[in-house]
Amino acid sequence: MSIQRRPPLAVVAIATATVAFLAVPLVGLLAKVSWSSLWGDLTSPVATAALGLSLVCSLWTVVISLAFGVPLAWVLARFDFPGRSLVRALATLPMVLPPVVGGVALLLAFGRNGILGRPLFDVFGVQLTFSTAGAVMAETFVAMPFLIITVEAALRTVDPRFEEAAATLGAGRWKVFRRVTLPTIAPSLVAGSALTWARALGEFGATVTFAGNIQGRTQTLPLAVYVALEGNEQVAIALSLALLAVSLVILVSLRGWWLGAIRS
Amino acid sequence: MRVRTSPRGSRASSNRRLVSPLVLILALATGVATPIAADAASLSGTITVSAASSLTSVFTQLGRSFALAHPGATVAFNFASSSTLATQIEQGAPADVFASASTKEMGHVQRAGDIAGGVSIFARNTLAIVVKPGNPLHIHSLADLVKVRVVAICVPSAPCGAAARKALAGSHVVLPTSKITLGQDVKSTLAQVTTGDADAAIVYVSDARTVGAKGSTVAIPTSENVITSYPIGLVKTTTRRALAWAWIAYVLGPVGQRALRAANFLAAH
Repeated sequence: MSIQRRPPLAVVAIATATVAFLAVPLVGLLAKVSWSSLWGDLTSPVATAALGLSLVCSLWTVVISLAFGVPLAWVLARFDFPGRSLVRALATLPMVLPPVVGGVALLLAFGRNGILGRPLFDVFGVQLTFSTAGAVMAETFVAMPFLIITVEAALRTVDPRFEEAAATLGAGRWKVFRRVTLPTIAPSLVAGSALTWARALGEFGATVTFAGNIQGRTQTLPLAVYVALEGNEQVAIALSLALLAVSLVILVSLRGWWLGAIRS
Repeated sequence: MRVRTSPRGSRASSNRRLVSPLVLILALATGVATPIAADAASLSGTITVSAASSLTSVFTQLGRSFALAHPGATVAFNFASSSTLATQIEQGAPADVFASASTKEMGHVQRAGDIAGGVSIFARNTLAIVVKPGNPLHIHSLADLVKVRVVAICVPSAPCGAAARKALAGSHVVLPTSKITLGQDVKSTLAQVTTGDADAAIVYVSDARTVGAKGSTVAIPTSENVITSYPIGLVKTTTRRALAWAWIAYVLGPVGQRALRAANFLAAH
């Protein structure tokens, strides 16, 4: 329902420039794609290893983020406790922190000489660095805040009267959550999961810093793109195209969910 | 200052074809025309030197002394792997001087027509293994690397990566990819051992020297080692030709050579 019939010309010009700025790099990428060798590039050993690993790591990230992020979002949304804003800041800090810094922090905490990594290695023989688990940790560190922030916002908008009504009708706490709260925030859960997945899929800095760059073990898609960019440019472009396609699909299919989540 | 045939092992990489009369011209220029070249007006401003990652500390130090010697002149550095720098220059990134860790990358840039005049070899380097302090896993040779969990090596496109692979192949050591973590340049490769959890890294001797207490160095015998040469050249698009030449002459001259020697680089000849 726009009030103005036509936007001012200057604004249109600036908006067009903005779109061009965002679109031209993608056009540049598309222009360089060698369509005839695309399938071969995507099925090369380096590419398949990276694709498979990225899929595994990013899906684990979503599962872990749901398991640990939703309870935290619920606590943040429903309970007032001292230091809540501090906890909330901590939970969203990785969104603004440079991922490399996150990787260094993970390294200093969970590396073999880290405050937790040392006992973990000395007592249990567990080494997270250079392991797929380490790559999942790095991705979760960076991507989980997207889930927490989305779900917390949704939980805040749930009308507590519905939950109270269910409770007065004899439903237990878990049943209320499962039958009333969860369906209400479902769109946000989906949107948050998709955002988390997309962010995890694109994670580079924390992963390379903490988990290293081992083909088949920690070399996820963005790392493979970076390595392939010199000497193996077509593979780098093919993998970039794959990442771009996935991101686009997520964003386009998310639009409806995202708006739904905001309206709910 | 011509590069002579190396008395080292046959795997020492060969760069004879890149040596040019430039060196002689520079020697003349610095010897004969110093009063003119030192003219403050022609030698002020800032040049950008795209230099191989392994040159980080020595060039930074030389950049400071160069600025002291030439008031009004500053040298800005862009350190990365030589292959990254070569790509940047070919894509038109502003640089006045290119100092590569390999003749291969310099050759690429030369063939693309992005270097004005010839290039000169200003240093050489060999490889070493860096391990955790005190060498807890008792690594004494390239062959011992198969015993460890993770070895950090530069990406194949970077000169340090190409050299490391050549040395491993020459010693008939096959490391499975599951043991190799790739560093984008020599500094990030070394950091995998000094701050990260890699058990060993194959880096240049000049970088191994910088680890201090954060690691131990295991020498690689000459027969298994690889020698790489560092060429330097003027980027064609430079707008500060005089200053760029002065920097190249400085690196090739006694001050630069002394600093490179002190940083464990081998003489160019």
